Amino acid sequence: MTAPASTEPALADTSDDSGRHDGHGSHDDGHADHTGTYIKTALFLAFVTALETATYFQPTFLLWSWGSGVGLTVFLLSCMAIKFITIVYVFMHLKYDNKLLSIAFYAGLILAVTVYLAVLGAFRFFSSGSQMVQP
Amino acid sequence: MASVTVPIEHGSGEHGLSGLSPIDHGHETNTGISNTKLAMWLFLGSECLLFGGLITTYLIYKTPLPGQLGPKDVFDIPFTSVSSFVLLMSSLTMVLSHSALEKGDHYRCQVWLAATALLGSVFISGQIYEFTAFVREGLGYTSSRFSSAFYTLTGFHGVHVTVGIIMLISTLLLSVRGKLPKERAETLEIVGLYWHFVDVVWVVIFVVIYLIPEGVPG
Repeated sequence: MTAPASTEPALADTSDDSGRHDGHGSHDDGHADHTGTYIKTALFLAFVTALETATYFQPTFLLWSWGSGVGLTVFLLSCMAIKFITIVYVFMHLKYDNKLLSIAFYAGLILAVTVYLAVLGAFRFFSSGSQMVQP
Repeated sequence: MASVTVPIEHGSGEHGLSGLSPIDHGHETNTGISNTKLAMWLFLGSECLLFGGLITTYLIYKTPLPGQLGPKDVFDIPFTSVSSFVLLMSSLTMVLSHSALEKGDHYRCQVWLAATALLGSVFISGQIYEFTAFVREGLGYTSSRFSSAFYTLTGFHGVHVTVGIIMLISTLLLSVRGKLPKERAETLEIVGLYWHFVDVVWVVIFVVIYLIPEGVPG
């Protein structure tokens, strides 16, 4: 099969990128220098980790000691969620990447969270004081 | 009318690297995304289900029976906090390695890759030390339902980290041999995705398993 006369390589025309990937989907700055952002993100993550660890050494601190343990749990889960989202969005480039990749990942994550919350509910995990599994 | 057929060659010639698989950049796909990258993200999504199951099992079994060792008796939070910090910093060195390769700075790429593998090895060494200490305290794999669930969860994570280290060293060797040109930065990015996921899983384990062993109702 032959193509119309042309002396240009087929990929030389970059005016239309539809259906062609550049490793980063639709965003424009996939190859921009994010080094500064990465370092700031790592410092932020280290700070949040230090806060998490501080709950062990200072369990009576006002910020997380309310509600007889509920405050501590809420605080730690919030820190965990912040770290999770920060790593996924910045270090794993979901912030800059094609939305389809976010859908692929979050479909699995949301399915896992939903299914296992249901399992924990079935085992009465959220019922205070109950014995979940009899020996 | 004369016609000329122009073959599309991706990633060959410029680097003179024979034996390399074609570079993905520029290949057309239905989604507009690299198939390899999409496959890795789908794999990571499925891994959420694996670790979700293991974490759930641990939460159900975490309460020890009377007379058995529980989380509070064995966990060394300061030590685990340092391990968590080490793994967190390995994510930084991983992205710096990828960033360096995209700029064509192969030396820095290799240095950061080696640093990532080293930090991962430190984490694994810490986990081996932790397991050894627990066993010495009397918490074997079959000592209780808590210990079985704990070792299975953290052991699976440790295996993932070990696989990640092997991938990092393999990629480092590729780079040292000149088989990881700037145009193949996506290969390193995919290894990085796996590594960051391992880190993300530890973020969850560190909080749910270590820091709130008694905080969650049950």
